[in-house]
Formats: sequence, C-alpha cells, structure tokens
Amino acid sequence: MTRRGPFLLAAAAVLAALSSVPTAKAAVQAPDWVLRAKETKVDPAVLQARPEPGATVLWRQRIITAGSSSGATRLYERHAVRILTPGGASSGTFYSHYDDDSKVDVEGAWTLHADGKAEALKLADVVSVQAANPEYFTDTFVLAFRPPRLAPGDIAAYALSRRSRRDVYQWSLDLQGGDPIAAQEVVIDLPEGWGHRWRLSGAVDGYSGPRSGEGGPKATYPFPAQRGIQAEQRSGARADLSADMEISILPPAGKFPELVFQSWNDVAAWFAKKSGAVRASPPPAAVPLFTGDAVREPARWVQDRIRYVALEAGEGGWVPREPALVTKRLYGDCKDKAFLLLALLARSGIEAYPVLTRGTDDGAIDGDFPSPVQFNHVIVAIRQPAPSGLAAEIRAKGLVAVLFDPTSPWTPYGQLPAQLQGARGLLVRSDGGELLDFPFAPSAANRLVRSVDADLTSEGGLRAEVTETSDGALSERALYQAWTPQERTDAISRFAEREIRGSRASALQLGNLGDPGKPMEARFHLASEGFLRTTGALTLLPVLPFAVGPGRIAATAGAERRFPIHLGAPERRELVVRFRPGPGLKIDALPDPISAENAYASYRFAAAVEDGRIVVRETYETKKPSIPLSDWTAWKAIEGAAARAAASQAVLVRAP
Amino acid sequence: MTTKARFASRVLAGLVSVAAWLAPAAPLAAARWMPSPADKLIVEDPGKGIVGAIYLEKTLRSEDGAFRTTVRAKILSKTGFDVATVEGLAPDAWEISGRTISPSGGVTELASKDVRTITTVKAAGVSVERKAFTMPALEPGCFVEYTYKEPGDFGAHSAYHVEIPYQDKYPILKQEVWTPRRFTYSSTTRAQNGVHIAIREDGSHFVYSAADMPATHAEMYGRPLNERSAVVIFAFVLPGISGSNVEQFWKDATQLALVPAVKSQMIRSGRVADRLKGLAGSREKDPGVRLRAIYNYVRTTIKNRSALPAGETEPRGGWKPNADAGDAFAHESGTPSEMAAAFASMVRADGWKYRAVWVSDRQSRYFRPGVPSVFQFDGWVVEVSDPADPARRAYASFEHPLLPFGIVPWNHLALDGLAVDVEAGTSEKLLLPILPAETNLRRRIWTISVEEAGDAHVERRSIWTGYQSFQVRSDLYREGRADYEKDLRDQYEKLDPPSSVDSLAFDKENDPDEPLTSTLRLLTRGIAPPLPGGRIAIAPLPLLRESNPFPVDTRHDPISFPFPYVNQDYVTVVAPEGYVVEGVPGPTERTSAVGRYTLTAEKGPGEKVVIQRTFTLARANAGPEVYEAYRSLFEAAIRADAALSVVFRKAAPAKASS
Repeated sequence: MTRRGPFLLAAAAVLAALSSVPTAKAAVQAPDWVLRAKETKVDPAVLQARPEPGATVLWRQRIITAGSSSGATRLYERHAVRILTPGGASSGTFYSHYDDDSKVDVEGAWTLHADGKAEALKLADVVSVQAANPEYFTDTFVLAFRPPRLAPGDIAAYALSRRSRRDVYQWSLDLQGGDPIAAQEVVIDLPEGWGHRWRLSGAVDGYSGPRSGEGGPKATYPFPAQRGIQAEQRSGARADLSADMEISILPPAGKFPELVFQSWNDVAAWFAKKSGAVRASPPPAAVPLFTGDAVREPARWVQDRIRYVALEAGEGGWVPREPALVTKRLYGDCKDKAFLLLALLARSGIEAYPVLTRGTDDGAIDGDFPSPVQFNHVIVAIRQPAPSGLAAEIRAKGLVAVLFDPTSPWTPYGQLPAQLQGARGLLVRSDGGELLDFPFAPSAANRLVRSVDADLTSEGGLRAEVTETSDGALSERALYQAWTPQERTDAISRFAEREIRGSRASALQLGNLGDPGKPMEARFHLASEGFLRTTGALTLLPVLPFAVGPGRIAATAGAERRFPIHLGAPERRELVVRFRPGPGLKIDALPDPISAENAYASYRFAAAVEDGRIVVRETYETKKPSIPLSDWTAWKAIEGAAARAAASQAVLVRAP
Repeated sequence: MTTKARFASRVLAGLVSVAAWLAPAAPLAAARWMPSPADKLIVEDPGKGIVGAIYLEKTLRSEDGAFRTTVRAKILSKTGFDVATVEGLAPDAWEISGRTISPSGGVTELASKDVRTITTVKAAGVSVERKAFTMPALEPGCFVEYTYKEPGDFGAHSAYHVEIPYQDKYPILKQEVWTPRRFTYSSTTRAQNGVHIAIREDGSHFVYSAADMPATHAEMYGRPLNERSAVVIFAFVLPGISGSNVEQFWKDATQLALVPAVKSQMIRSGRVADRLKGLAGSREKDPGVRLRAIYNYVRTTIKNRSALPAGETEPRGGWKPNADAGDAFAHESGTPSEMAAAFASMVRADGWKYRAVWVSDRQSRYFRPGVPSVFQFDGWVVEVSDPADPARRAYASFEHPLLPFGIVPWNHLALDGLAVDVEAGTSEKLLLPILPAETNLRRRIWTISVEEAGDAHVERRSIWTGYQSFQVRSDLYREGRADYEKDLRDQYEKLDPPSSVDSLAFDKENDPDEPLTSTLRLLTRGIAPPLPGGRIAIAPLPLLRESNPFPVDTRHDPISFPFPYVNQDYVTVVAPEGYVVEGVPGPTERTSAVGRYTLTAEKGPGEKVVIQRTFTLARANAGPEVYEAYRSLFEAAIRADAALSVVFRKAAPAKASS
C-alpha cells in the first residue's frame, strides 16, 4: 500500500525549515547536461495548457543498468526543470525513496540561475523521513531535496541513482507528470549477453512508433514533448492518467531466474513460494470453532476481530505472518488476514486461494506486464460447490469462487468493496496463476435511497424527516462506524447545513449499523426557518433539497477535458421528497419534468401533486464504469439535466 | 577517555544490559495490576462523554533526571483503539513494557520486538529517531497497561517550559505527576473545566493530582489543547530569576532577562540621528505623520528576512549575520526582532516614550502573568507614546513587511502581554487593544447583469481595510500575483453555479497604509434558471461565498475569531433585455450579542434590484455560553442569503403607437 503522502509533506516541511538556514556555497559549475538542457527548445504546444504550467521539465534521462555478477540493477536519473512562476518552485523540490533492499545516491543537485551562474546543493541538506508509524510500519524512507535559492527563470536539476529491490527485475517509468516535459529519453545499458523487453501503457503525446518490443543490452528510447497532466475531476486513478514505459530486464538464460517474470504463472509461483511456509502452518488453535455458516462466520470473524496494522519492513512487505501470531496479536495487514482466513477455512475443509490485487483507485493492472509490483493487496477466493449468484462470484479454470476481502471491515460476504469492483487480480494456485477480471455488482446492489417528508409552514419554514438507506458501494456504514456518536451527530449537522443553508438537524437514528448483511439506515429530523423564497407576490419552493443527481464536473479554466469520465461501479440513487404546503399556501405551478438517458447513465426528475402534496422524484443510475472522452456530450447531457433539476423551483401563492 | 577506560565502560554497559535482560520482573510484571470490579463495569456512555476509551490512571514521574510514564486504560469500543498506540518516545527510552488484559482476563504481553524505532527525520548528518508501539490483542472491553522511562526531567517533551495537560481526547479518571521536591523547575497549576489539580507532599516528592477529568476536543475557532485543558506548568528556574513570589519574579525577569534582550539589539541614539533627519513630520507638530514615517522607514529600509515575497530567495551565500539593529541597517535586512529594535532605537532618539511589549502566540500558548516563566513569549512589539500625551499609544510590529503602521498580528491580540519599560527596567501586564470591527472592513460592490439564457456577467469591486486588507495582501505577497489568480480561477470554476474569471486587477497591493482595492469580472453560467410562467429567478447571494462555521449543536471551548470585522455587500441585479422586475424580497435583520446582520432589497432605477447586505462580527472572543449567539447570527445570515431571490418576467410588448 502506498501511504507516502503525509511523509512527503513532512519531508517538505523539514526541507523548508532547513532551506531557511543560511549556508555558504562555493562558486560551482553546473554539469554539461544541465547547461545543454538550458538550450532545449520547448514545443509551444505543451505550454498551452490551462492553467498555465508553473514549471517545465527541459530534460529527463533515465538509464537502466545491471551488474553482471551481482545482479543488482540501478536506475540513473537526470532531471532539469525550468521554474516559470513562484508557485512553480515546488517543482524544484525533488523526491525519491529507498528501503532496506534498495539505496539512493544523490550525485548532486544544482540551481542554474537565469544569469548563467550556478549553485550546488550541499548533500547534507538532503532530508529523509521514514514513511512509518506504529500501525503502518515500513522500511521505506522518503527522501527530499531542493537546489538552493530557486526563483522564477532558474533551472533546478539533479542527478541520482537508485538501486532496485533485489527481488524484482522490472522498472515502470512514467513518461508524463504534472509539468510538461520538453524532451526525455530512456536508456538501457546492460552487460553483454543481457536483453530487455519493453512496452508502453497509456497515450504518449506525439509518439507513433511501436508500443512494445524486445532489445539487446544497449538501447535508447527518445520521446517527444509531453503535456503536463492537470488534475481533472472524475478522471479515475492518477496512475492511469500518465503514459508509462514498462521494462523487464532479461539476464542471460539461467542467471537470476527467480527475478525474471515472463508470465503470470511466474508471478504466482513467486508468491506461492513466499507464502508457502505460512500456508502449510497449522490453523490457529486460539480461534473458536464456528458452529454456524462455515464460510461466512470465519470470514466475518477475521474482518471484525483482526485490527488492520501493517508491518511491511523487508520481507514483511510480501510474506504473510503465521496465523497463530496474527491471532495472538489480533492485528495484521491484508495478507496476514487473508492467510488467517485461508487457515480457518482449511480447518473446515473449504478450498480457498489467495488473490493478489490492487484497487481501481490505485490504478488498473496491466495484463501484458506480468509483475508483482502491480499488486499491493491480497484477498481470498473461496470455492463454491455450485454457482451462487453472488455479486462477488468469479469463474476461473475449473473453479467457481466468491471473492472476499477480509481487510474491508464492513463489506459483507458476497460483495466486493467499491474499489475492487471492476479491478483485476491474480489467483494464486499451486499449479500456476490466472489473471482474473473482478465483477461489478449490479447497480441495484450499490444503492442509496433517500426520502424527505416535509411540512412547509405558512411562515416559509420547513420541518422534515429525512431517511436514507445505503448499500453496497454506496454504503455509509464504514463512515459511521469510524465516528463517535458525537461525530455522527456533527456530521449530519454539517450535511444538513450544506444541503439547506441555515438548517438544523437533530434526533439522528441509525439502523443496521453493525450488520453488514443489511442496508444501513440513517434517519434524522430537520428544521429550517425561511426555506421558502418570498419575493413580491410570489413564493418559490426549491424542490430538490438533498438531491442525489451527479455533481458537476468543474472545468479547468480554459482547458479542454483530456481524460475519460470515471463513473466507478454501477450505482443507483433515488430520492423522493414530499412537501405538504402549510395553511395559506397554494400550489400555483410545478417545474417541468427533466430526463436524460444514454448508454452510460440515466437521470430522471419529475414533480407532481399527489393528495394535496408536492411529490418530487429524482433517480440517477449509472450503467458503465466510464464514459469515453469521445462521448463527453453524453455526460454533459446527464450533468446538465441534474443541474437544471437541482435549480428547479415550484411557485406557490398565498391563498386568499 | 582512554581506550582502556572506554573498554571498561563498554563492558560495564554490557553487564548492565545483560542484568536488565536477566531481571525476572519488568516493572509491570512486578506490579501485576488487574482491573477492579468497578473498572470492569465501565461502559460507553455518550451522555457522560465516555466514548471509545477511558484512562483509568495516568502517572508521570520525574526522578533523577528520568521520566517514567505509566498508563492504564480501558477500551470501550473500536473508536478507542488509538488509546493503545504510543508514539514520539525518546529514542533511548527504556523499561518499555505493556500488556493487554482481555475482557475475560487473558493477558497478552507487548513483545519487545514490537517496540519500533522510527526515523522521524534525517538531515545534515543528524538522525532524529523516536520509539513507538501499538498494543496487541485489542478488543472492546479490554484493558491496556503500558509503561516506559525516558531520559530528561520530562522525557521526550523536556524543555525550559513544559505544560502537562490533565485532559485528553478521552476522559481520565485519575492523573498524577510526581516531581522531586528539590527541582530546577517552578510549577503552576491552572484549573479549568471543573478540573482542580491538588498538590501534596509525599516523602521527597511533590504530587500533582486530579480526578474525573472530562474529555476535550478541538473545536472551530477554538484553542490549542494546553489552553483548553487543566494543566500543570513547569518552568525552568534561571539563575538569579527565581523570586519569592510572582511579582518579584517578573521584577527580576524584567531586569535580568527581558530588558537586556531588547537592549542588546538596540543601538544608541547617535547612530540613528542622521536617519531621522529626512523623515516627514515632527513629534511636536505632527506626531502621527512622524511616527508613521519612522515606521515606514524601518519597514522599507530593512528587508524582512523571515517573510520574503513569492519568487524571492535569500542572497547568494546566505544572510549576513546581524549583531544588532545597527547591523540590520548596514546590511539592509534583518529579523522582525532586529527591525523592532531599529524602530525602538529611532523613536527613542526622536524623543518618544516606548516600551517593548512581550507577547505570546495564541495559536500555541497564552501568556499568563501568574506563571513565572519567561519562556511563554513568542516575540515583542513596540509600544510608542507621545511624552506630551502619554495616553495616546500606538503599537508597531515588523512580523510582515506589509503590516500597516499600528497593526499588530492578530495572534497576539485578546491576551495579555508584558510591557517592559526598557529605560526604567520595569514591567506591567498589558492587554493589546483590539481595533473595532469597523476598522476591519470589506466592502464589495457587485453588478450582476443577467442574460435571458440564465447566465450573468458579474463585476465586483472590492475594498479592504485593517486586518482584512492585510490578509489579502499577505496572500498575494506569499503566492505571487499569477498563482493567486490561478487559485482564484480554480475556486470559481468549482462553485455551483460555476464562474469563469474574465479579469482581476488590484490596486495598492504593496502599500499597507492605503485601503486595498480590486476589480474582478466573472461570467457565471446558469445562475438564473427559468421559472414556470416565463419568468427568470436569480439567487445572487451565494456568489458571496459565505458559510456558517457553527453548524453543530454543542460547544465547550470559548470562541476566538482572529479579529472583529464588518462585511458590506452592495449588489445590483440588472434584468435581461426585455424583462421587468416582478418581485423584490423583503428585508431581514438579525441582531445578537455578538453582531448584526441586515439585508434589504429594493427596486432601483430601470429594471434593477439593489440589495444591501451587512454582516458585523462585533465580538471576536467570547465564552462558550455565547455560542448560540454566534451560531444563530451566522445561521440567520446564511439562510437569508440562500432564500433571497429576485424574479424578472418578460415585459408585455409595447403597444404600437398610431
């Protein structure tokens, strides 16, 4: 799992504090490659992004090497970036990372000022922070540094080398980043007799050559200018936005075979070997024998009783701990929980397998690049004697199984957490591995139903009971479970305030909070003075409080959208609002119905008078996980319909 | 140390560690504490604030230069698991042990290998490490007990000024702090929230104990933990500054520490006489102009090293070291303290009376004169008064280059400072005055021209004064104009309905003595949706982007806004071509103990509606008992803003004239 964000911030904060300490710097000369980078012509097209980039990478070079005897591989990086604005100076803060199995050597970092004078970073000013806390302990160190006195117009540059983890012979190099890149190349420099295989993922700007290939020990891959990647709402995982070059190093036949992954079977065999000892260990005696459902009961027990604490230093990042130890500590990480559950199921003679995976929010798994580095999570596939019809059911070779995530504390057996719906995973069996596509649950399973029963007062106020049930990917159970009772009440107060300005929520009641097998229910009372908008003789009623339609995707000022619209797992949201007009208020006009439907989603809104009440119904349902950019208008139709509906008002008049 | 001695010391250290390893009973094992029947009966009770976990006992013991912490707690639900995770211990903490007692009485020990050492930061050849651990076998209803010893009088938190809170995220049934009777720290207790800390002697120790402390949580516009909790404050006793009572302490501290600290940075009058010659005004005839001229001279002559504008860096080779204000003048740069000393030197040379007011930063600690500690201060500002009219005082701070004359950063206001007469060597408590709300004005004049399709062209002219202008100026200064505008564009695009920024202009952004003005032009899309009956409705006030910071029901902590203020908005909504004003909303007014909100709308000349909105936060600081007054004021404002709608309808076609 990657949780380096807070540690990057910590490193940056220390760096900022250190950079304010004056240090004497001798006159220096920047390396030739930095001086050459200064002359790089930047394709104006990559600078036309909106908002304007704060920095531009002038030159980036990555060189991959390997030692013929030791087998250690090394990645050399050279990077020169021109700072364009004061805010762009943050692009001159560079990061890398290392752990017990790898090492970073910062060869140098330089500032080449606009006047041609250079300054060098004192290497003692490089800051590193261990990305660890007691509940997420890793041996990873985040390293940060910044060349001195960076200002707009300056070039910040660095050169470093990073030794790879010994147990993986692959590199995945991003070809795009937040800043535009004027020029870059990837160089392969291996010993004689070695080779490499490569492939590109994602769209590389201006590149029309082959997307994959194999080569010998020496090769150079230049790439044209790349646009910077701007954050776009609903664009899915950040990792899926940039183009990457994936490289597998191929030593001579018979050399370092355990580090080379030619197929998914190789990856499965590698993990089977890592986890073999634990798989063979006896089931934990401390866990009681379950008397109920032989699958659901132990599955729930592991989810509920084993606290998530990850100890991922060294081999601990890949090798699960013995179930007896996990049971004693009552804590463990995803693989610890998965192998504990496997042991408990085995005790009952139930066949189950570990599945390596990664949530869609961390990026899609590339099926053409067999590698352990694509995974950061382990779940379990439990054999079914016959198809069960459960949403989490998959079919593999000779196997019908239900996927179950023992790390997700509130996802019931038979369902997958939202981020695993539509993901991929490697089923690991003793005879090999199989890459599986995980299913999506139907939209009816990922469901939110909200109702608002409201009385309008003649003074323009509103009193309402709001009820909400949620299930599947839209379930709010995990949120409520993480909150204290006071935090729940406060959260509802904030929610009400956001939806109806100046309103007050009270009397929150929760149903099925501790039962993941049932939809969770939240109910609260709401009061607002001045909900109606009286203007002259007219009284306007906003008819969609607590709307469930999709939010608008904010445009990036002046920029065309670049990436598909990510909708995620299919879902269905429904709202029914019933307004009872108070004494003296008469319904004069209702808004027209609004609807939009296409292959990706549907939206419906309608208001009617039923039994003297205004009844408003709104439904939003998604059908596919994403909308290609070529169908941007399909999204705009849905979004526009929802926005028009959200602004709709009924007209009331004062009865004589 | 000789090689032989070093070897002997290593052997000795080795023997000690072996002996420690062989020792059969760790401190906890020896104690063998078990929860009492009463402890076992404790369950979650949100009504009493018992949620997640409860500390049964916390004992902190300082002895022989070491600090032992022992904690016993009960976990009541999973939200309280964090009570069993401990971080930030000194890297050389020792005698770390712990155990978890399950609801049925089973014991799981904390394994020594599960105590982890984490490198907090490595830089400049120095590695800062901390120990940490999380207890095993946690489940609702279990008990945890852990203990550890750290070097230093207060362990990892040792400092010259240490505040030990007696309240935490969870309730505490009993807490004791033990210190030697002969100790190099003074102590002061502060009762709060009904928590009283009793002091007793126990053999060679003082014991500070309290019972039944409620939990405390951070709240919006609230205070830091040490200020909202009952605490014991320990302050290192500097040689010669001990004092038999607080009055004597401050007398000694003033003469021996605070006055010398200021004087060492000031320079004699002769060295600034020439600098005073060319400045505008005179103390006798035009004191206001004169004082402002001296302030601005220092502000603009000496570059503030601690707050550089966006894109600017320290000079090549670093800043030249300054010994005093004279060096700051010579090097044309200095720290805020050196700039304050330069200013004090100049006003003294010009014949003014001045004092150095030592202040604390209320975001971390309040200065309390009853606490004998000179380590409470964050810096000092200069008080200047006219000898002919001593009651007229002005305060000058140099913490930011765009602070106008007479404005002290808000984090020093609403709490006591210590005014030190540097010449006389005396001091007294002083509350820095808070400028009234009217001086911190934001006035915005909006013109919203609605189009038939529902979009609107918006022009906003703004003027800021006082702290409000300083806030905007300092943002611009820090971010730079381009990045500030980029952020603003991004914010408006994300509004609902969205707006795109056509242009943004500022005036007087670098002149803190003048009001700051700006003009912003926007295109807001879909702000005026159609109504049944061929009408168009527009709710313009959400464009103001105001919010209610107090949506929650309960409040425990005092409310502390940075400063009082007045926000005025004049909004003119112009009907689309061919439309007339159909309806104008009625007025709203709300006055509470802390401020006032008014909203009026009327039909203006032509087909326009003119709206006037004023929000005054008159009282920036108040106790929690006033919370409802704040809440209802913000709530009424935000509700009335949302409810205000202007309706236009298509004009009837004009009759053809014959």
